[in-house]
Amino acid sequence: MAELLQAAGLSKHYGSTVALDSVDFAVPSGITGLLGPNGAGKSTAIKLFLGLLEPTGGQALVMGEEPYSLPAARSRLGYMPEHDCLPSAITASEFLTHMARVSGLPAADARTRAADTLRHVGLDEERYRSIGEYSTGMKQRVKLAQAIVHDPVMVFLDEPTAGLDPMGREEMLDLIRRIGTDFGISALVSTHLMGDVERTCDEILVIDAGRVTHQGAVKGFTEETQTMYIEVDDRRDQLVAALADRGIEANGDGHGPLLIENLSDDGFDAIRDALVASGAPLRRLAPGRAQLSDIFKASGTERESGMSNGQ
Amino acid sequence: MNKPQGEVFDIGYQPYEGAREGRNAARKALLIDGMRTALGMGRGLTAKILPGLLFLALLIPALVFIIIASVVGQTGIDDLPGVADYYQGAIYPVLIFSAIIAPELLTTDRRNGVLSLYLVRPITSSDYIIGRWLAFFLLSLIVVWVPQLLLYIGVNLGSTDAWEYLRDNWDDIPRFLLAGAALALFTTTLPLAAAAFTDRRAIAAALVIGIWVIALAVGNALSDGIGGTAGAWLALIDIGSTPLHINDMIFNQASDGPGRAAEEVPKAVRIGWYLILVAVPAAFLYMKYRKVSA
Repeated sequence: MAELLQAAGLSKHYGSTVALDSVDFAVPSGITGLLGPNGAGKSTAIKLFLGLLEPTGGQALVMGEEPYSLPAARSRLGYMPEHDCLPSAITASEFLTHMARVSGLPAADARTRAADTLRHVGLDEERYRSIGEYSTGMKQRVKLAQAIVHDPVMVFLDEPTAGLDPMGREEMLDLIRRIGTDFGISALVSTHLMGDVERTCDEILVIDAGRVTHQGAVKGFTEETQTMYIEVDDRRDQLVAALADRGIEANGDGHGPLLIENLSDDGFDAIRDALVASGAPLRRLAPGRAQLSDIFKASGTERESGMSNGQ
Repeated sequence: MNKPQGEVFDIGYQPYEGAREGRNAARKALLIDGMRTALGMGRGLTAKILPGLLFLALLIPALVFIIIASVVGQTGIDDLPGVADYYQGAIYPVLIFSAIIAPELLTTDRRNGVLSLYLVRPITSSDYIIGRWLAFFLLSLIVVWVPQLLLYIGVNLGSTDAWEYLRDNWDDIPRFLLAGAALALFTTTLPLAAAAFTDRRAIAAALVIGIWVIALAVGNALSDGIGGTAGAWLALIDIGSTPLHINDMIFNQASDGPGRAAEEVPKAVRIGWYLILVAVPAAFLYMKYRKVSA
């Protein structure tokens, strides 16, 4: 995959505070999740790539160009901020047309693109209503629409599901997924909701305390583990004993599923035999799967930073 | 059964492959949007009422003079205010128009957060503030020139010989255009600089109108009370009248409006004072927005 963003020895200091500490990473095309606790440097990284901040050291390159010194490089970028950014007095159609014009599109094309983009985000019928009359979910769609109205190569989405109800969140996540698959626009999604990343992203980039701690394909962080989960409706203790007779140690909190660590290949036959011997009615037998939250559990940052699975 | 005439297909998302006109097109879009915003265009009816009423208030004196000129004829025209002294009285609607309308161009973008969206497009914060300033300056030029132009045409047509009037007074045209530009420059910059202090248009407008009124009262009270050379210098405190000094210099006439005592101050000082009152707010505005980030 082609690299769209590249950080080369990228640093940003605010006085004595180090927001980014000489980081090196590349973001390929596709949907990439930018994860990290509060104050990790996510927003600083986004602002450096958008050319809003001057790096203290190193380079923030977008398709090989530096947006800070070359504003024209921003013409193929989009940005959906977390905070409110919409005028209330004008219609979505008028607003998107203007934003397309400010991105350099000719007037006629800007009007066409505005109508098309609003249709794609599900606001076709409401596009001539004032934005001030919109619900939170509709405003979030307009924010997304203005970020892609000029057909950028890369769009930066900052907490795109913030403030949405469960249904609105589902629809937004679906839209983000479509941006990557149907629209062909790459995205860097900054979020503290690991569930959002697992649902939408191909790649993940984890920043903590100004440094990159993890990077790779999302599936690499959520692949199957060596842990096996067994859930039975009854005769749980008898099953534990039967497993122990066959040399398998099953752990659990006394009520939930039994966990078997490091199961060998012939362990499945032993589990089958133990289930038969104990007479425990089986509800579920499944391998464990790693979660993105495990990255943060290891470093102890999950609770204090407010990071969650967002499920 | 009729055969269908056509079918509608959803062809899905189409990548944009048209022209991308770059930074200059973005600047132009900002400029046009600034003028539309100031006039309430693209917004509801209520957004258009205030600029509409204020613009009407600017036109009314000129229309009244034209009607009087058509009634009194050639003999009475000389007693009516002409383009040279029109703004001795009509400057107040211009000051109020700029104080109320200009802040809308900046405060709304900051309050709504739209500014952050501009700054991630292929323009700089300097492009943004220059675009907004230029939008209101061009609008102000229209606002100050249109009544003058109507008045000039009206008085011309009311005279006995329109061609002779034009031949004798043709030099008033570049003069009122220049004087109007000086007025527009002044009334654009200070209100926009005031709008950089607050996100609320009403507060910015009250601040600017407060400055005009207090300066007018204090300047003229001190000038009249003290009198003499010191009084003339103190009349400069009435900063709202500063463009009138430039107007009088352009038309090479004695001042008859507020702050007229300042006439005794050397021309170079009055011009310098005007330039300071334009350059300082302009520099403040530019510096304030040059550092702004999303």
